Order: sequence, then structure tokens, then C-alpha cells
Amino acid sequence: MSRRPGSVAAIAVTAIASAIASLQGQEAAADPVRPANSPLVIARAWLPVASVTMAFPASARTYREDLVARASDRALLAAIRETTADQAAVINHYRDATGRYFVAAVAREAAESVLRTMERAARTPLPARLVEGAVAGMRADFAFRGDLPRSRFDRVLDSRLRGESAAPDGADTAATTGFDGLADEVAATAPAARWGPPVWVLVDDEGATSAPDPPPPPLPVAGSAATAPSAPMSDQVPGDAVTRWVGSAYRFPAETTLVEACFLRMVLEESLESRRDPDLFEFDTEIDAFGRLVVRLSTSANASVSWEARLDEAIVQLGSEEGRFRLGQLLTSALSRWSRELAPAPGAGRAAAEALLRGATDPQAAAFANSTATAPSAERLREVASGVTLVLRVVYGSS
Amino acid sequence: MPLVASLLCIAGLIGAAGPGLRQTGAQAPPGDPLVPDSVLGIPAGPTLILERTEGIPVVGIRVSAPLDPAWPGAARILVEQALNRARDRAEVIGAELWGGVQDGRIAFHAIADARYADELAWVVRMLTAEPEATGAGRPIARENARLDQLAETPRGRLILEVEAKILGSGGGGALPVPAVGDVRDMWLRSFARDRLRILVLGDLPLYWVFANLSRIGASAEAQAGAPFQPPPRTLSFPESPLYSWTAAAFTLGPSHDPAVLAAVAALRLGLQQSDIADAAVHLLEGPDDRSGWLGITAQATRGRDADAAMASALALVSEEGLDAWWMRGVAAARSDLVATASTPGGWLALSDRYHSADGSTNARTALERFNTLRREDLAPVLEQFQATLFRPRIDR
Repeated sequence: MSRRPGSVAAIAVTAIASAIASLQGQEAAADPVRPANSPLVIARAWLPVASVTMAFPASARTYREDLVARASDRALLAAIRETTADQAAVINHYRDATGRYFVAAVAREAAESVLRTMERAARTPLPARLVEGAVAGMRADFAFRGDLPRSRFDRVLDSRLRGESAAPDGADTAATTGFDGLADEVAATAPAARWGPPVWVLVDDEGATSAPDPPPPPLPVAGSAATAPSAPMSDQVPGDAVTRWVGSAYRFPAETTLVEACFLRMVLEESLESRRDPDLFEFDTEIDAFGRLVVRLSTSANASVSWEARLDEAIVQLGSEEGRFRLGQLLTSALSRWSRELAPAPGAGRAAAEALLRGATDPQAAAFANSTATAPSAERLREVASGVTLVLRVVYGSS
Repeated sequence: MPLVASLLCIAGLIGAAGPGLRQTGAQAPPGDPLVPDSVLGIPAGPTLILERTEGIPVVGIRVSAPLDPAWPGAARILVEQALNRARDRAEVIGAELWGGVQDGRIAFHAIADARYADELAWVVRMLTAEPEATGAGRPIARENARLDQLAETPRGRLILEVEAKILGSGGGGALPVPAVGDVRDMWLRSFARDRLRILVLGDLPLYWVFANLSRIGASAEAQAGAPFQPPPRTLSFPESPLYSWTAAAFTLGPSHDPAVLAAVAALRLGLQQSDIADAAVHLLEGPDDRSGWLGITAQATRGRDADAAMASALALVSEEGLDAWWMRGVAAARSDLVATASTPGGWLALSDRYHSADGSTNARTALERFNTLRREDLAPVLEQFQATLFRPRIDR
């Protein structure tokens, strides 16, 4: 019995010019290895399926722009699904604070065809019927959940994160407004023309097989943090919800890398999960486009202990000498989560796309998508945690 | 013999392709992860299906066992007890843990970072350990509640009736809730070592697999009871005052057959797109868990509307009815396979589903079969559906 030949786990960045020669309109990448108009290719010989990722930056400078992005994404997803219906592919859409991702899990032999189909869909004005369907779907969705406390809180916090001073109760961005002329606006312009050329990542078993040497410098998380919009440090927004919503944004120390920030985020989640009590209803975390750690949580309005205080305390503990042992335990769990996220082709593709949207070079993006082997040490994470500072807090609901 | 020496002997056997092990499947063609790297049978032990992939950052282990007796309720309790037993250990290493009945087998998988392979093997040993009497109370109570809840609605009644009929206990009743002894007996029979399949995905040497996984399950010395089939439990159902229901169900035969999967996907598409007036028509269960049967219900305020809706739905279960949906069903089922293969857990599940003792089938052959399915492949599948079609009695 012998090992499968050629299974040297190659992780590399290269171009497959022949496969993607038709890609037009993509700006030349910063990395000289990759020709213009070509995707970043991450090669993994052991993958049973490939993935194609197309990503646009998160466009949320205004509420209206966010609506346009949502409608455009819905229609584009429908268009891609329609045109790939006969292919062995499943297309999913995700959005986070950094970008909007269209991720195809695809049979390896169909990867090139699906990539071309997605590229064509992004360069073509969206069919009116799909746009109208998307807007109608959004209307129904917003009518159902747009004025729920969570949605109102999200609008308030998002406006603060953008540096806006929204009305006290978020009414200026009420859920049912902003739809006038939306379909016409979305249908008028092709997604790639409106949002700029998307970034492309192909995760496949083919491509160059040599790892970058020397390894690229790690991608900093806070590359653009200096330009993050300023906002009042603390804000209390009244609301009629019986729950209490708290949004917090923290800045990482200047030298923090994206991988370190991701691990600290996961470790913090593990820590909060382990402290969970019946007063904590839900929480989620993300790293926004400005490199800030954003934590949203909701609690019972009459919780005996302030959960925002416990959140701050959890971060302090992660950065303390006393928390060293606990941090090591939490890091073990975070490592498995990270590996499980990056092992599948779609997960690796999305991670590389996120890094590219954050301004990474190709080697940096590939390194980020394969960062399970270079996870930060507990000691380094402790250093990062000790330098994390609160920059924004919004409390919505009962005080 | 000391353990180390035993392992060295095993390693020697492997290296020499000696008589202690049998290679039960064909060697993988170079570079195709959809074909297991190797399949090994241990004498009086489990079948090992290895996907040894250098460089993958995770290690995944799946253990599956036949459903014996065919009593899903007992399997659910067995699985819940196992997950409860292993959960704490899995959380320490951040492992993904899953258990359930899939493709007609009881299955577990655990997936974690490759650095924690030893701990993961420990988790798997806990998953497959003999169920204890303590801790069974809550899963049994939950199964009781599930049965009672299903019995309250016509839809639930259909599920129970179909389950009992397909599994051989006859219609008109439901399988009973198992007792502690039933669950243990199922473990003794299903988890007998020589009936287990162990699938390993990761960059692991063979001696590691043998050292950590070859002795899980019930040993040959453990005495399983005689084969048995639980008697059906008679159920009484309340009348539904507001709606009339009608139902039909059929067995799928080899439900992992790509042609069957495509036909089911086509039927689902057809029902979704068909405009059936004055009634709600739904597919039930189906092959999502490869439970081997598919049900259709029609619900309407008037009995004749429900009957008409069911007639329309059953008209789709024909060559003419599915003609317009067949190729889209093929594409949808093929895409499902690709999406499943994109995750480590799904990859292991596919290797398990398409494993055959002679090595003639695997996920690659299934994908190729999807690529070559033609219109004429639909007819034999529909014959199977029609031959097993039955109409459970349901409140009207």
C-alpha cells in the first residue's frame, strides 16, 4: 500500500492564465506574480472538490448604499444560480463586515466554467425580473423583521461604526424606507461596474506547488484603522425593547496581524460561551473593515450583572498573567475551529478573499487561507489582548 | 505480547501485505480524493476505509454500524447517550461532533485540528462505548415525547405508520419506545467489531489507526441477544376537525443510487413548481437521511380537494410527469453530492455511503454515474416507486 503519488500538500499562489484568460476588467493585483485579470489560485492536491469565490467589498457607507448592495447581491446570486443550474455546483452567499462573498463549491472539472459564468454575471447588468424579485423579497423580509429590536439596534450600531450620528432611536433608517427607485437603481448598473472589479479566488488541486519563499510578511489587521471614522466613545440609545443590546468596538494594538486578531476573536467567543448564564441571550463577534473587533450582545434588561462589564473583564483576563492557563485552554479549542473552517475549499476561498479585500498581497492572502500551521502562540495572544482598547460602546434599550 | 511489539507486528503485516489483513478494495487511482486511499479488513475486526491525505489541517474519524434491529428509536437513544458521553471531551479540543442515523446506518463523526488526533481518537472511543443504564432516562423520555407529539397530528401519524411499515412491523401502528435493555442489545449487535466501518481522513500513519481504533466496539466475547423485531404499538389518533388529509408513500430501494436521488430531486422540484389548487402538498422525510422511503401528504379543508391534490402529485410519479424535471433533478442531486463532499464530514459520509465490499463503487463512481444518467434511467426507478406505493389510513 502506498501513498497517493503527488499528494505533497502544495499551498501556493500562481496564475492559471489559460483557464481565466477571459476575465476582463479586474485591476492588476499588487503582487507581480499574478497577471492582471486572473484569480488567486490556492492549490491543494487533496481536495475532493474545488471552490470559486467572488467577493465585493462591504459597501455600507450609507444606509441606502447598503440597501442597494443587498438587492444587487440577491439578484446576482439568483442570476448565477440560474446560469449554473446544469453544473455540478452549489453557490452560496455570505456577507460580513469586510465583504460580500459568492462562494461556489464545484466539481473540479467544472471549476473553470463556473468561474467564467460568475464573472460574466458580475459584468452584465442584472435582469430586471431578478432585481424586482430581489427587491420584493427584501421588502417582505424587512416588513417582517425590519423593526425588530435586533434590526433597530444593528442600524444604530452600524451608523455609529460608520461615524454617523443617527437619530436617537434609529428612526432615520426605519426599515420600510429607502426602497423608492431601488430596483431601477440596481438594474441600471452591472455589479462589477458599480462596486469595482471583484476579487477572485480559485481553490483547486492544480497550480504551482511551491510555497512562497521567504514567507510573506503577515497581514496587519489595522492597516486602515487610522482612517476609521470617529464616533462618540459611549452612547445610550433609548428603546422600547425588553432586551438590552450592547455593541462594543475595540481597537487592536498597532502591530497585530489579521491571524492574531482572528484567533483573539475566537478565543473571546469561547471565553464568553464558557461564562454564559441565562441573562445572556445571544452574542456575536466580527472584525470590521477598519480592523476593529466588534462585539454585539443582548441580555435581559434586568440582568443582575452588567454583561458589558463582563465582556471588558473577559478581555482583560485574556491579557493578564492570571489568565495565561485559561487562554491556553481556549486556544486549543479555537485551533480546531480555525482548521475546520479553512480545510474545506469554500472556507479557504472565502478567507483568502477576505484578506485580499483587506489589501493583502497574493502571498499574504494565501498564507492567511493556510494559517492553521502558523497559529499564534498563547503568549503572543496574551500580549495582543493586553493592548486591546475600547473605542466605541452603544447601549440600546432599557437602561 | 506488549502493545508496542503487537503494533510492530501489525505494521510488519501491513508492510508485507501478509495474511492478517485483507485489502478489500481497489487501490486509489492517483490523485483522486473521491476514491479511498485504501480499504482494509481486519480479521474479526472492523473495515478500515482510509483517506490518508498529506497536508490536510484536520483529522476526521467516522464510525458507522448497521441498524440492527431496524429500530430508529433505539438508535436515536443510543446516539444521544453517546454524544452526551463524549461532548465534554470534544469541546476541550474544539472538535465537531455529530451522530445520527444516515444511509440506513448508525453513524458518528468527530473532526478536529490534526494536532489533536490522539485526543480525537479518545472522543471516538467514548462515542462507540457500550451504553450505560445511567443517563438513559432523559433520551428515553425524549423519545417518548417525540412519539406522543407525532401521534397528535395526521402528518406525524403518517411518519409513524410509514416507519413501522417500511421497517417490517406492519402498518397501523408505530414502533414502541425502547427500554434500556433494548438499546444495549442494539449496541451489542450493531457495534460488533466485525460489523463496523471506520473511516479516517487525515495525514496519519497506519500504525496510529490500528493502535487507536482497531479495538473499538463490542468484542466477539460479548453476547448479543437473538435477532428480534419490536412489536408495533397501537396508536389512537384524534380526529382533525379542520382539515382533511390524504397520504401516500413508497420505498426507494437502494436510496443512495444516483438515479434514485435524481428522481427524488426531480419529484421535489415538480411538486414545488406545480400549481395545485386548494391544497397544501408536502414531501415527507425522503432520502435526506436516506431512511429509505418517501411520503407525500396533501392537506385541504375539503376531502375531495385533498384527494384531487394527491392525484396530481402522484401523476408526477410517472415518466410523463417527471419528464420536464428529470434533468434538473439530475443536476440538483449531483450538486448536492459536490456540496456534501466539500466538507470533511460530508466527504467521510460519502465514502461510507458508496463503499461496497468489492470496491466497485465509491463517490467517484457515483459522480460519474450522475454525469451519464439518461432519460431511460428514470423508468426502472419509477417502477420501484410504483411497486411499493401504499396509502396509509389517515384521519379524514
